[in-house]
Amino acid sequence: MNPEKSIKLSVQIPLFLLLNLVLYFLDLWTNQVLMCLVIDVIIFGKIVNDAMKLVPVRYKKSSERFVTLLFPILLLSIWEIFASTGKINPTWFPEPTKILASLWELITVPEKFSETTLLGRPWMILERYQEQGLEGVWKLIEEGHVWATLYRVVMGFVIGLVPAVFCGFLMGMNKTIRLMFDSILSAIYVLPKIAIFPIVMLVFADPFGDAPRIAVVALSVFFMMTIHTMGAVQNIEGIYILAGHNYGAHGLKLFFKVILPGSLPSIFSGMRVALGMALIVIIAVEFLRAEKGVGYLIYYNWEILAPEKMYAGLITVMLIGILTTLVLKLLQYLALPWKRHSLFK
Amino acid sequence: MSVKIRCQGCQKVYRTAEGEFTAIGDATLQIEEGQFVCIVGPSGCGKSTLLKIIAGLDYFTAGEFDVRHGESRDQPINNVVFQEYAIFPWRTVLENVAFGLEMRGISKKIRTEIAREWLQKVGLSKFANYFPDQISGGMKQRVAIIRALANDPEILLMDEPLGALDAQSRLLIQEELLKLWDETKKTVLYVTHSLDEAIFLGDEVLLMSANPGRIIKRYPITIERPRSINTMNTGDFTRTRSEIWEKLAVEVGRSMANQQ
Ligand SMILES: Nc1ncnc2c1ncn2[C@@H]1O[C@H](COP(=O)(O)OP(=O)(O)O)[C@@H](O)[C@H]1O
Ligand SMILES: [Mg+2]
Repeated sequence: MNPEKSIKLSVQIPLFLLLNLVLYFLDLWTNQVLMCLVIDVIIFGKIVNDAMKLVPVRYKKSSERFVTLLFPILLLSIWEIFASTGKINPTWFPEPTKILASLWELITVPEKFSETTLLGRPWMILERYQEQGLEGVWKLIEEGHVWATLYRVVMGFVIGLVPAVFCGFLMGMNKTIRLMFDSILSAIYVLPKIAIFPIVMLVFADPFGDAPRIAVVALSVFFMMTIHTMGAVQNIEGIYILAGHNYGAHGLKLFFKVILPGSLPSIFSGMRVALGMALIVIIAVEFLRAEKGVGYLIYYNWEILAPEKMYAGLITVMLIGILTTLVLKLLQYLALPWKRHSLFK
Repeated sequence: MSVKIRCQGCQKVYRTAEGEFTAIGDATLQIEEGQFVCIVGPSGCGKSTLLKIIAGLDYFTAGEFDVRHGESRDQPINNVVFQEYAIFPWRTVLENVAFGLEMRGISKKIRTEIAREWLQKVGLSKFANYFPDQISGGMKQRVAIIRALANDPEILLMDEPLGALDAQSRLLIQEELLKLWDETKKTVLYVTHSLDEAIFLGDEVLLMSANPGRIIKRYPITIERPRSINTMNTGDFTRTRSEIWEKLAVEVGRSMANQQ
């Protein structure tokens, strides 16, 4: 125990409470909510910071986990209280509990136009399974909003990624090819891909089907990953190539034993960025024109002014992002054994 | 004894954006088969460049250069221990040591066996399945050295292989290196910035001038083998050292003046 610190805390905490009482009676907690909130968060942060130093080493890890969990919960509770007491406008910032409830509603109650839910009427799974087996269950999941978005984003990502890595390697390894395509690529790269969505729609036989949506995701991923892969190859330290040559690695051997593993870590970090962008693109595309998908759901609920459902949609997008990132991390874990010890730090 | 490496009036000019830069002005040297030759010179004088060219990883822009191959067809002509180690971070220690053998198409079983033997020799058996990021700098250097030795080349080219080591480990590995060389009798060209190390290890010390690098003098080292730490305290050793240092100090001074 550090006596100096604990004395400091025993002064700080009562002062903190006192300050809030004063703020409350001066009506500042009603008139200057934002200011009070900022002051409180700063002081509270300081107190937690000091308190953390008093924690015995033995409990260090668990106390850190406690803080990472507790603080967001605390913020959410404040949000909850403020919204329910009307200190912030619940129309724009609905209570977290209401958001959770509407997330549940989005899963369990079919929405009017698409006649499906986020996960595709999950309560019918058992029934369908008895009627049609696993195939029937699959069809149910397929009709949901989450699957629609997930399918488009994953398909687009893969379709864009594979040729991009191929082209990126060619451009990274051959200077002539690089010179030929570099300027075209950089020019298209800066173009927001959503801007070419109308043109992409025209190209496909069914402009309102899934193909143009997947294509626009694929295009965005393609340009980003081509540039990223090219950079990854060029950034391999020359000394590894020299070492490869000196020990008899040329041609394909050099590619598979030196260039490929040497550029993979950087390609994976590019994939993380590209995945984030793919999500942005697909949500934007679904805003524009889609009959289902999480983007559609958010936009539809904006049109009918159901903010808590919009928030629920946002949470769903976040969850999709987290899920896909996790899958990517798993792939990375498998593909880069030498980076494993630093992956989940 | 036959001549293994021969350079006559060799030059290396780099063409850079700022114009031409002469890295090596005149390299003239001759290394006999089985000799251990050390090169010393101020930093930036072109030692690494010379080594890379002799390794066949770059080329001279003028002069005659010749490396004579041995009879054996399967034996690689040379392998380099790079100044930057250059062991592959994506391969385990064992896979790194076996890299050359793998590239030569030697079966997994045999190359693993050979690599393990070498790891044993330098006391790294325990770290066979570690990745380079997980071992110390000194261990990485040893891995780089045995990666070359395991491949059994005719010529071993080493570029300040012990540069980053602390004095104690350096002494130990120097002795180890002499022992290994004694067993294999390879032709060795060894670049170092430590004069003591050069005299301790070499049959011959070549002195390189400040940029543009020239081989300005050749000092045969006649100190008896086998050598040990005590060798460094003999009169022969200190005499040779002050003789070479006299010239080397001038070059180091010139090199430092160049940089200002
Ligand atoms: N690829 C290159 N292009 C241009 N200059 C180079 C290149 N490689 C090395 N040099 C220059 O050649 C000189 C000699 O380098 P180096 O052989 O690494 O010196 P040392 O190993 O003796 O310290 C240095 O001045 C370095 O900047
Ligand atoms: Mg060097």
